[in-house]
Formats: sequence, structure tokens, C-alpha cells
Amino acid sequence: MDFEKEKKARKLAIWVIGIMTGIWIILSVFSFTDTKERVRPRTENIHFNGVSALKGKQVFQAYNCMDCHTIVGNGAYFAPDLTKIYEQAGPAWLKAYLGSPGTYPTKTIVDIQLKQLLSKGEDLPKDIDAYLEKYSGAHDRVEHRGGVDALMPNLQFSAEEIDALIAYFIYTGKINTAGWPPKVIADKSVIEDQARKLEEASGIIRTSSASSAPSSGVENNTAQTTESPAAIGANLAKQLACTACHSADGSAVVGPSFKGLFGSSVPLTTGNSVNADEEYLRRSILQPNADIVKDYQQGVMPSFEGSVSEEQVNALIEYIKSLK
Amino acid sequence: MKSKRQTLIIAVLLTIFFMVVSTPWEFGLSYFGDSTVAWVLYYIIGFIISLYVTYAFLRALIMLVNHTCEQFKEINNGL
Amino acid sequence: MEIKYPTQRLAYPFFVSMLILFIIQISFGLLLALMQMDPNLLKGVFNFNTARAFHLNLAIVWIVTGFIGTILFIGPILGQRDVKPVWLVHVLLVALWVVVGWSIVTLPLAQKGIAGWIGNVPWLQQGMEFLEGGRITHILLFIGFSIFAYLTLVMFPKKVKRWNELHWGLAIGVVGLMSVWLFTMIPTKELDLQEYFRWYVVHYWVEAVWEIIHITLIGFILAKFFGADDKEVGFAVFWGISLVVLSGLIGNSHHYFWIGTPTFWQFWGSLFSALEPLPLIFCIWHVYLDEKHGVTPIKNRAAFYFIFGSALFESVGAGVLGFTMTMAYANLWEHGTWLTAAHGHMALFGAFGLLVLGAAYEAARQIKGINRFKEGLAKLSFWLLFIGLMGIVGSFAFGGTKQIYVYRILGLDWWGHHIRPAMSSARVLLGIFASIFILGAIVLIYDLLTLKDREISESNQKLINQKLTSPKSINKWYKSMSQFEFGVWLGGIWLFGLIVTAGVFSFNLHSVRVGDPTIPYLIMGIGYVGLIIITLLFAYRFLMAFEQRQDLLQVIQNFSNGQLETLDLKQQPPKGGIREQLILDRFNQLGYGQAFMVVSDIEMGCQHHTLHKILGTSFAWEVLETGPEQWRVKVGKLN
Repeated sequence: MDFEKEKKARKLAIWVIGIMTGIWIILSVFSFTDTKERVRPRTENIHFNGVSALKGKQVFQAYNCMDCHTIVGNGAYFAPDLTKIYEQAGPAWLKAYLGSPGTYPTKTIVDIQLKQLLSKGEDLPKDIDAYLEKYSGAHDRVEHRGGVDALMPNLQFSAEEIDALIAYFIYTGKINTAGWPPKVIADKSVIEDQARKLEEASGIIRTSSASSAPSSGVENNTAQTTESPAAIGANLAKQLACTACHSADGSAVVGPSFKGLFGSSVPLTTGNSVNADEEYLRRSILQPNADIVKDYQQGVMPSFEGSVSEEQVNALIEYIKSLK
Repeated sequence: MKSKRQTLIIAVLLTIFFMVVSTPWEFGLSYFGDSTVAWVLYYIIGFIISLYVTYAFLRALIMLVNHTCEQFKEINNGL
Repeated sequence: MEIKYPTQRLAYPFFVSMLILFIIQISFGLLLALMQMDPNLLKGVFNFNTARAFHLNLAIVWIVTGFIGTILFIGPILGQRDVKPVWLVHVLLVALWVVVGWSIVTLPLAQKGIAGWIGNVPWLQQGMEFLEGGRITHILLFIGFSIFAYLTLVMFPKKVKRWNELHWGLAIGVVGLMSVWLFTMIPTKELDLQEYFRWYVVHYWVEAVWEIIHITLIGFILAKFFGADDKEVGFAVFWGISLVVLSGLIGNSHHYFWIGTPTFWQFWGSLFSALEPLPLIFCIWHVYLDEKHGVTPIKNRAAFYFIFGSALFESVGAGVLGFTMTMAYANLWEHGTWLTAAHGHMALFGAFGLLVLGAAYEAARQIKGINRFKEGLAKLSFWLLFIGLMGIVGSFAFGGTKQIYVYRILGLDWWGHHIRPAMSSARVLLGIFASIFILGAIVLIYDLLTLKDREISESNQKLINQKLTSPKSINKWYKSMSQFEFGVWLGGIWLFGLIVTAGVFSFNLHSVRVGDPTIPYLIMGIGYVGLIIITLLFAYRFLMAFEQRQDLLQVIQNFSNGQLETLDLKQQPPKGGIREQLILDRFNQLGYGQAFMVVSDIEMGCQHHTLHKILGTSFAWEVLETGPEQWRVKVGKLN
């Protein structure tokens, strides 16, 4: 090795690094320049319920979602990848779930959210069955895990944050991830077989096969029973997923606890307080945003107006009364 | 000189191996925002540069392994 | 090497800080492992994401603190002057703890969803993996990095022309550390752009700037330990760094396969990240060669354990495991699974963590004025950390392999509680090995902080040295490792690496995609288990040969020069290889650990190299006198 040769070799290496930097810059600029074939989706152009996906990105970062979930495959591998969650589960399931992330929503509650979204003019399938057919991820989640505790902590998102997150997931769904994650081509029966094995091994019971938690038809359940109104109410509270947010033991989950609620004086965000009588409870079920309890968020609880019958509201009130 | 040619041959083989495992076969050349011409360019430039990197690596490694006192002394006096 | 400049001592508080941060960081790791086992653990009180944010950020912070300590320690030697101003070093230390304190306050805000958004800038925390801190943290860190870069650069010679490769390496390192960090502050509105710049910081740190610092520090430390030639180290450092940049610059695009960027990145990213292991092979080969340079026993074998471990894990964790998953076709399956974590743990702690821990051992020895210390605890901690890390990586690999099948091939998801049970045994293994790892760390920290208690007094050391006698024969694990054998070990590691790669690729097979995981399970099982075993055996083999060589060097050093028989070459003709032959004849009569003295009237450098060609590195060559009238060298037989 002579010195001149080595010096030349070193110079060449530095030149090649320079050329590489050039290639890098050209490729990068091209990557983020829109072309006819490829237009990058923009967060500012995507909205849900009037909230932009940019706001959603900020919410997503604010809660550090990425250090449990993954997004475009980057993150903590501790919870589902969220890139395509909107296509999988749709807005109604997401709205129902994000309101109380500690519990998987039941079909009933997804239905209630769907109706409210439809009433706001969102372009969605007109009834719950069509919705679940379109968003098969929502169907599976409702059928398998509806009403069951989820592993996610109850983060108490505000209504705006929920809409923002949904807008963000609409945006991430539009990202062209170049074929990732790879398409599943395995036969349904193979998948189902493996899924059953894994469930058996870990003692997981699907909602649809568990006798205690029916997934559909609120009405026929109440009609058949001869139990006390409070017991019917307790059952209903479970089906309607009231218990996902309201505890029976005094602890605050997402909403105020039912325990000792009846007859108490409830402080409101307005600074006033109101007596929790039957009328208040009824109003809170049917128009939940009429009075907002101090320290809780507006717009998170959906209205149950039209989703529950008069007898069912009474049963729920009896149930709440029974929790002293 | 003979060893130089051998090094080059090994570098070419290695580079071809790297190129083969790096080619995204399934997607073909019909990417969004891309063209066949661009792809030919990528392959030519990619091959040349990665051949250079592989060769530089082999050359440096061989020199490190086979060096003798005189050789490094020369650099010593030069640099 | 002993303390030459008083300001080298300023490194000590940084090493202590590093150890404190290290134990906190891995405790969070154990907490995460427990949370993996019981996902409801501390839920709502201290969520998984917050624990993980601490785990990741502290990992970066303690290693950078270790870099600061190491560079402050060796900088004065390299620059031949004291660190100044001293007050700025104290400011740096305070700044470090301010950042840590501030992060402890701000990172948990994620549980309440508070990021401190003003416009599109998150001032308090920003919920981006590895870079969770907010803008205030960014600015504080930038100030810290700037101070560090300034302190390093002012130690170096004023005239850039006088810089050698080591100066350049560290200068590029500290300036790079600072400037790459700036990319974290670019506000982005879209996820693809956010990820694009996030990887600028993460990739160009760990796969460029940190590597550059790593290569330079290893080069420097080995030169000091084994007296390797400056120019040779310079050569290795220059090409090591160049290859890192030549492969890693475009190699960054392996992060841009699936984030919404065009698919040409798949080609560029695959090709150049396939080249990324090359500098790492180069680096470990250099460590092998340097270790053979030593002609006198080193005073700190434990530190060498850690430094060797660092180069080995850089090669295996960053090089091999990185390679297995980096090509687009493998990455398609591996991306977003535990396999990434397997690579990440070995590459980050293995390569950078072990290096700064090794540097801490040597710095602590010198700063506390210890000549030799009992190395039992240090070596115990090394092996515990080694086995713990191997197990952690194996658990992640095992869990990740099953995860690919359940998650990607079957398309089952977390919410259905299918992935968790599929990975449950891996999770238990993870907890077990994480505990072994923590145990190793506790031993290490205890040992380092109370190193003075294990000091061996000079008289005791003499007794120990005298007890060492020449062995009649040498166990095969203790025999010197020839270059060929070294190459075979490295080839074996790569063979298993390629098997793992084939396993990841095999997920593309039609039979696998329709639901039969036998092929990848089998191939990856063989690959990972083989890789772990061969890495362990190689490390054992290498370090035992190193120990034996050091012992023999000690035995040879024990001979007082008067005791030795002399071979006088003065009367022999200097040319025609006669002198070389005489030395060789004499050498062949020696037993292990025996020596003789050669006296010559001219410089014997080239006799040394003739012997080197024939005997490899199985002889000691200690120069005792260098002219001008006579040259004397002690020649001894090693393993």
C-alpha cells in the first residue's frame, strides 16, 4: 500500500458519500412532491364531524398512543395497529369504543352511535346490520368481544378528541402503505380453527357464545323475564354498556358512578347543583348533554332517545335507585 | 494484481446477491410515481455504488489483515 | 494508561449518573415485561406507554451520558490538554439532570393527553416513539449537545491539519450528535413526513453518529490497551467510519418502506441496508487484530470483556439481526412485530451500552488510582448481562416469530385476544431473562461504585503474578485463535444469520401464507437457537484465549531480564534471513510461557514481521531497548 494510493482511495470514498447525499436528496424531494399518479393525503383536508385530522394527529401524539399501539407498523407492539382501523371498524364502532375504551362496545351501543351519526348527515349504511356488513372489523369485535372488558385504560377522551381521532384514522387509512400489512390469503376455516385453539388455550369466551351477554335484541330479553324492575335494569345497564362508563361501586370510570347517585345533590359544570331525582335520571339518559356533571366531559355520552322504551328507562332508574 | 481481480470478482458476486435479495419482485415495476426508465436508472446506479462499497470494504479488510510494518510506516511518513 | 490530566477526573460524575440512569432504565424494562405478562398491572395509574417512554428515552440518555463520560475522559489524552472551561463541564452535568427531571415531570402527561400544543408545536411532550419529549426538552437537550460538542472540540489541536482520524471521528461524532438532533424539531402535519424526519434522528444517530463515536472510541481504547500502531488504528477508524456512512446514509430508507412514501425506497433501502453489516464485520476484525498486538499484560481485563462484547453484539445484533429483517421482502413480515425488538435490544445495549460500561471500568480504575482490582464481580456481571441479553433477544425472536404467523398470516388481532396467548410463553421467558439481566446490572453497579474495595495491593499483585506458572499444555478453548478460526466463527454466525433471513423470507411461500407455519418455525427456530449458541460459544472461546494470552504474557513479564538466556545476533550477517532463522530455532525449543532475550545491533522491526508471518500471534515481543548502539527484545512463547 503506498501513501498516494491510499490518499486517492480516501478521497474517492468522500466523493461517493457526496454523490449518495445527492441521490438521497433527490429521492426525498420526489417522495414528498405530488405527482399525477400519487397525491399524498393531507391531514388538513380530512375532517370528521367538523374536526380536522391534523387535530387528530395532535390528539394521537398527546396521548402517546404510539407507545402501546403501532401506526404504519411503528410503535410498541403491545396493542393493535391503528393504520387501517377506520376501514376495519368504521366511525360508529370507533365512537362507541373511544368513549369508554375500557370496554368493548356492544351491538346496541354501536347502533345508537350509528343513528346519531346518520342524524348528523354522515354518509353511512342506514341500519346496524348493513353497517356491520360493511365494516367487518366492527362485526367481529361486536360478536367476539362486545360488552367485555378491554385492556386499554379508560383515557376519558373528550367528544372533540374522539372526533379528531376518527378523522386521523380516516387519514391514516388513506396512506398508501405499499402493500403492508400483507393481505391474508389463508382460508377462513384455517383461521377460525387456529383462533378457536388460541381462545381455548387462554380461556377466552366469545360474546356471541356466552349465555350471559346476548349481543342483539334488547326488547325480547326484557319481555321474557319476570324479575324485579331493578334486576331488569341491571341487565339492561350491561347490554346498553352503561356499565362501561358508570360503575356500581362508587369508582369513577368515564362517567359518574351510579352508587349513591339517587337522591344526592349533583354539582354541575355551571356551578349550580341539581337533585338526582327520577326526572334528572330520565333526562340524563335521554338528553345526556342537558346537564353536565362537574369534572366530566360534554358530548361523550350518546343520547338514548329512541333507543330505549319507556319501561326500559324506568327499569334503569329502578336499578340506579337500588344502588345506595 | 491477481488478488485485486479476485477481490473485484467477490465484490461483484456479493453485490449481485444483495441486488437479488433487495429486488421487490412481487410488486413488479409498476409503482406509483415511478417509471420503467427510473427503475433501470436505479438498478444501474445502485449496482455501481453498492459494488464500490463492497469493494472498498473488501479492500480495507484485506489490507488490515495483510498489512506489514513497512506499509503502515509509509502512511506514517506521509500523513 | 494512567491519569495524565487532572480534568480527566471530571468524567467520573458522568459515569455515576450513567449508572443511576441505567438501573432506572432497565427497571422500567422489567416493569414493561411484567406489564406484558399482566396487561392490567398499574393500568390507569402508570400506563404502559408512559413506562415505555421512560424505558426508551432513558436508554438514549444513559448511553449518551456514557459517551460524554468517555470522551471527557479520553479527550485530554487525545488533545494533549486539559478540558476547559471546567465550569462548563459542571453546567453540562446540571443540564443533564435538569433534562431528566423535566422529562420525569412531562412524559406522564401523556396519560392526561396533555402535549402543550401551541400551533403545531408540542411544548411538553410529543408522543413519538424514541423522541417522546416535547419542544422544551428538545431545546434543553440541544443546549446540552452543543456544550458537549464545544468542550470536545476545544480540547483538540487548534490546527485542523494536525488532527488524525481519531480527532476527526470524535469531532464528526459530537457535531453530528448535535446537528442530527435538530431534525426532531421540524413540525409536521402529516404522518409520513413525521416518520420521515423521526427516522432522521433515530437512524442517523444509532446507525451513523453513534457508530462513528463507537468505532473511534474502540479504536482509541484498544490502541491504548494493546499498544496498537496509531496509523493502523487510524486506517481502521477511517474505513470503519466511511463504510458506516457509505451504507447507512441511504440505508436509512429501510424505514421508508411502508410509511406512505414511494415504493422505490424498497429497492434503495434493501440494497444499502444489506451493506450496513460490512463496517461492523470490519470493526470486530479490527478488535481481533488489536488484541493480538499486546506484548505486556493489560491491567484491566474486565474492561476488555465489555469492549469485546460491544464489538461482538454490534456485529451480531446490529449486523446479523439487522440484516435478517431489512430487505423489503423480509421486512414486510417482520415490520411491527417483536422481531424488531429483538434486533433493537441487542444492537442498542449490546453495541453501545457495553462499550460505555467497559469505558467506565477503565475510567473508574484510573480515576480512583487503582493499579489492579479483583475482576471476579466485573466478569460475573458481564456474563450475567450477556446471558440475560441473549435470553431477552431470544424471547423476543421466539414471540415475534409466532406473532408474524398469528398477526400477519392469519390476520388475527390483539383485540380478539389471539396474539397475546400465542406469545405467552415468550413473555414468561422475557421476564426470566430480564431478571437475570437486572441481576447482572446490580452486580455491575455495585462493583463499579465500590471498586476501590477490590483493589489489589502491589505486593499482593506480585504474589499473584508469581504464582502464575508456565502450563505444560493448553486446553483447546484456551489456545490462541488463529485468523482462520476467527473467520470460521464469524462465518458460522453469519450462516445462522442467513438461516434466520431465509426463515423470515419463507413467510412469502404460498404454503405458509395459506396457513401452515411449519417451514418458517423450523428454519427460524434453527437459525435463532444456533445464532445464540454460536455467539455464546464464540464469546467464551475468544475471551478464554484472551485470558490465557494475558496470563502467559504475565508469566513472561515475571522473568527479570537478567534471568533470561541471551541470543546475540550482533555477529550474524544482517541479511539472508539468518538472524530470523536463529530466533525461530530458539523459539521452537521454548515451552509455553518461556522466553529468551535477543540482542542486536540494528532495529529488529522486520524480524518481528517475519516471525509474525510464520508464527502468527503466538509469540510475545517486548522491546526493551531501542538503540542506537544495541536493540534488545524479549521473545516469549504464547498460547
